[in-house]
Order: sequence, then structure tokens, then C-alpha cells
Amino acid sequence: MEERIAPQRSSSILGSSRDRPVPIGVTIKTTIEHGDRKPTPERFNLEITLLDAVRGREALDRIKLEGVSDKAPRAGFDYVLAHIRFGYFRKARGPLTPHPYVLEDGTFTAASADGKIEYVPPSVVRQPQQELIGVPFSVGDSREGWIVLEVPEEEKRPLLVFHRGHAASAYEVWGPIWFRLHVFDPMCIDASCADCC
Amino acid sequence: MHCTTLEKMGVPTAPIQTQVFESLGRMYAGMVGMPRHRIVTVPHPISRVPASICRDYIEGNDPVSGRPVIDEIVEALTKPLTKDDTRSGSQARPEPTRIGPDTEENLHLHFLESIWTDYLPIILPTEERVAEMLKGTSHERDEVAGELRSGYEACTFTVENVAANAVMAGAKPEFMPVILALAASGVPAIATSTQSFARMIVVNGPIRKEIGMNSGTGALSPMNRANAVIGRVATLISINLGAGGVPNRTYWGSQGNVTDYSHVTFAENEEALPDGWEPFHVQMGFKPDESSLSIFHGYSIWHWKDTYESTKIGALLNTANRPLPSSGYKSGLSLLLDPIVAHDLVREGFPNKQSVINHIYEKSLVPLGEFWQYHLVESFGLTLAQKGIEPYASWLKQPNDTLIPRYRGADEISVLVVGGRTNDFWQAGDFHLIGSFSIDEWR
Repeated sequence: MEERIAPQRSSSILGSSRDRPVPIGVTIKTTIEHGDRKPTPERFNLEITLLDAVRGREALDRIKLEGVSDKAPRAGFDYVLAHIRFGYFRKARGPLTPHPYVLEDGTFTAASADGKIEYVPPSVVRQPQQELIGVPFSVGDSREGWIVLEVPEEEKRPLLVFHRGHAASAYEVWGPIWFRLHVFDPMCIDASCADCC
Repeated sequence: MHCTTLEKMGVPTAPIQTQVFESLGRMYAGMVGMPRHRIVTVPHPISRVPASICRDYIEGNDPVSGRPVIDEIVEALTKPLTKDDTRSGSQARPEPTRIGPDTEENLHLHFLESIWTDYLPIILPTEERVAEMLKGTSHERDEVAGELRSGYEACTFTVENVAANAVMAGAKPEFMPVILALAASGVPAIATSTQSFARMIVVNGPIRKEIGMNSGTGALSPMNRANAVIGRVATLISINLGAGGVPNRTYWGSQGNVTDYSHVTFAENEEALPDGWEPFHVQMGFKPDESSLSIFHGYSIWHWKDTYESTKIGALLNTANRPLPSSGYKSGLSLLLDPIVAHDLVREGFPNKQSVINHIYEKSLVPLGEFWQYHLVESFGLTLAQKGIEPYASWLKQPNDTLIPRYRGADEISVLVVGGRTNDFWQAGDFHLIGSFSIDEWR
């Protein structure tokens, strides 16, 4: 299946629901369980900021220049480069194991404006610089980097989904964090748009 | 969940679950966006059940659908998913809510029927009471305090939500930093497991005295408001903000655990520690003048007083060497020593807690033949050994009389001092540390 159906949950808390995505530039703090200690895996704090989203021609030019991919996006799709700051911090003190955390392909995905469809990230030759995917975070690390995504051309207000359980953990039920993968549009006249109208 | 992920990638799967987890499997499938995933069900339990019975399960009928299990497995692996199978939907999440005025009796009934209590009397969290409770912290009422997961996906909650539960449990506003640290830890007091776990909650630092916690005589009994309420609110938060504690829906502890009412909650008696013995929070890297909350995971504690040993360390070793319910794969040991016992240990040559811990770790050994027979080792450790994961893989090759450490590491052993010096007792349990959390961040 090329497209995946994202789960829904209603919440008034920013980022906890596809109805309340975190805007670009806003830092969200959240928690993950990580590591192989059972039945009490360690908990870590994450701080995630979507700093920018570059799309279309500009994204394609950068992708080609950096050798990320030598292909155009799939027919009918645009490349989107998401600039993300990601921090991984210890939540507790104690004799705990300093598990590194690795963002994998699919930890971040793009989704439709209503959050009901996720778009599988494109296959790339290498990750854009600075790399986020596949580079381990030690406890206390906070780094900026880029990831590459694809969204349909007609998808003007896509979302970014962070899957908290994706990284090598059996505990996949923390639920996603939702971000707005598009910049606020002051010219928007769509009365149904919750972002700006 | 892994099956659902594979199905989304186009890989056919036949997820099999046991009957008691039917609702859980369905819930997880829904959470990952495929609530109608074809799940095959077999009778429960399968752990430690003879192979012949397991075979009967596979050759018999699915107890939910009534259809042959084998047919369902073959169909799941060979018959393409229909649109209906992959249909997604929305899940209603439990959200904190405000309810209108009513009589006190009706409101209490509403809380009970909504499963918002531990079935002991509560104080109704009116707007005024919650506002008063919020005076116990400098944090804003709308600030996100944390997330909890008790079976369902994580629920996010605010400082105000925590305050409402603090009111219900009978807290005073000055307890709020401790209660917020507890909630923000992300550790649900009520675990979902079939194993009926409980928590141990230990408070260290100046806040113990500020809020009047008991670390002396009767500290583990229901004889102190702060000790009792902090333990109780942990359970209420887990139920109300972590969507937990509903039997067969978000809780599967077969017998449950009486400790869950208020958990093993106390303050360490720092003032009675022998010279050279550090308070627990200092052992964990906090400064003595910082306040912390340490949360442990386990089943229960027992009273001990071994009158047959001439030394306290010998008696403690006897305690440590008795198989605990969680022995083996994930065993922890918590020793709650009366100050008399701690001072006796100093006289016996143990200048600090770590020396006691190291001694017990090194001297607590178990023959491999016994180790492999522990239920949890059989269920989990053996699997790891068969996968080649060390040290289990090497142990599997060694003779049964080989002695191995009974505890997974010295850091699985905790020594805490609590009590009023009225008798040289100690209590021991299988609790191991999940983590120590700052209370001062929530003042």
C-alpha cells in the first residue's frame, strides 16, 4: 500500500491531534519510551521544532545539488525539505542506560491536511545535509538537520507526523505528534481553513 | 501492531492473540489505523501450558468468531485485504471535562459511574478547590504537565488536570510540586500487565519536612496525610489522566494488587542515616538540598527479621537469596532498613549504602539450573538466550550447577532507610528503580 491511513485522536493539546498541529517555529516537548529494559523502558524527553519547510522547485534544486536523489519526485508529487531541530534528553536521574536514539526512515512522514493520509517518504541516495535520519543522538544532544518528504502537488497544507514509537522500540503506542508542514498563508481566503481563517 | 505495520507495507500477516487480550488487540489495531485488521484469537493462557493443549488451540475454533483457527490463519495470509479491512476511523479519547452543578450525592455517583475514582470517597474537585490547589505551584494551570500511557496511546494533560486529581485524593496545595513531579514522570502507577505490578514512591530532600511527610515510626502505614495522599493520587492520575485501571479494558492484572491503593509511598529518614550513608536522591546525583521523587517498579514488600543470623548483613543476604516473584530475568531488590539496622551495618563494617549493595550483589548467587526454571526467565530470558543475546546465550551452554548473580546488576539493588528506631526490622521487596525525578522543577 502506497498510502497509509493515519490514526486519529482528538485532543485540545497542541501537537497531540491532527486537528491541532504545531506551527512552524514552535517547539514541542514530548516523551518517548526507549530502550530494551522490560517491563519498564526508560523515558526520555524530546524537544522538536519544525524550523522551515522548503517545497517545489527550490527543494528539487537542493536535492539535486546535494546528490540526495537524481530523480524528479513521483508524478504528481512535490519534494518537501523539512528543516527540523531535534533534542533528546534524559527525563530521570539514576543508574540508567544511555541508549542512543536514531531517527529512522518513516519516523517523520508527511500527511494530508486532514491528517487522514500519510505519504510514504521517497527513497533517496543519501540524506540531505545536515543529516538527521540514521545519525544517533546521544542523551543531551540537540541538532538541526533536514529530511526529505513528498506530498501531492495539490496538497497545499500538508502536515508533518512524528511517530514516537518508530525507533527500535516495542512500545509503539505513544501516538504521533502533528506539525504544520506549511507556512501560514496570510492571503488564504478559504473559510474552511482552520489555520488562518 | 507489528502485523498492522507489515500489512500497510503490503506484507500479509495473521496476527494471533489470546482471548483475554481481544479488546487490547482490537484497540491497538485501531490506534495504528486498521481497526478491522483480521486478528485470529486462541484460548488463554498459553504460558506454561503443555504443547498438546496449545496444539488443541490451533486445531480448534477461534473462541471469538467460532471459526477454525487454521482456516482463519490461512485466509489472513492468502486472501487479499478488502477495503473494509483497511478502513480507518476516529477514536474517541478520554478528555478532561467540566461537568455542571448537581447535588453532592449525584456528583459522587457520576464520578463513580464514570470510573474516575479508586472507589474510596473523594473530595469533589470544584472550580474553587482546584484554584486553591493550583496555589501550590508557580506553574500555569494550562501548562502541559506531561503524558501518561496506560494501555491506550499516551494522554497529554495539564497542570490543572493534575490539580483536580490532587483535590480528589485529599491533597493540600503544598503537596502539588510532589504530585506534579509524579505525574510528569510519565510513569503510570497502574500498569496494564497481567502481572499485577505496583509502584514504590520515595521522596527525598527538604520538601519531606515542608509538607510533613512521615519517614519515622509508622511511615509505611496509613498514618500520615502526605504519604497517604501522594500514593493515592498516583493511582487517580493513572486512571483519569492515563486512561488506565479498567479491568479487561486497560488493566489485565489477573489478581490485582492491594498496594495500588496508595503504593509503597514514604519519605526516606535522612536525619537518621549513619554518617557516610547518603540519602537516596544524593546517590542518584541530586544535591542534598534538592528534592526528588524516585519511582520503583515491582510487586510488593515483606517484613523480615531473621533471628537466626548473628549479623545484620548475614540476615540481609538470607533475604536477598530467597527467590522473589520476579526472580531472574528482571529482578530487583529493595531493602527498606530501619535506622537501627543501618547503624548495625556500619558497626559490621559497611561504611555506606554502596558497600552493602556491592556485598549483597556479589554474594547473592543462584545455580543456573534453578534460574532457568523461574517462570519469567522461562518466558523471557530463554528467548533472549536462544536469540544469542548475552549473558543469557553463554549461560545456556553452561552446566546447571554454575552460579550466576541473582540480580541483573548491583544497580538493581536499592537501600533505603525508613522507620522510627523502635525495632531492628527491615522490609524487602522486588522493586527496582525506574528513575528519580526533580520535584523542585514543579514548585
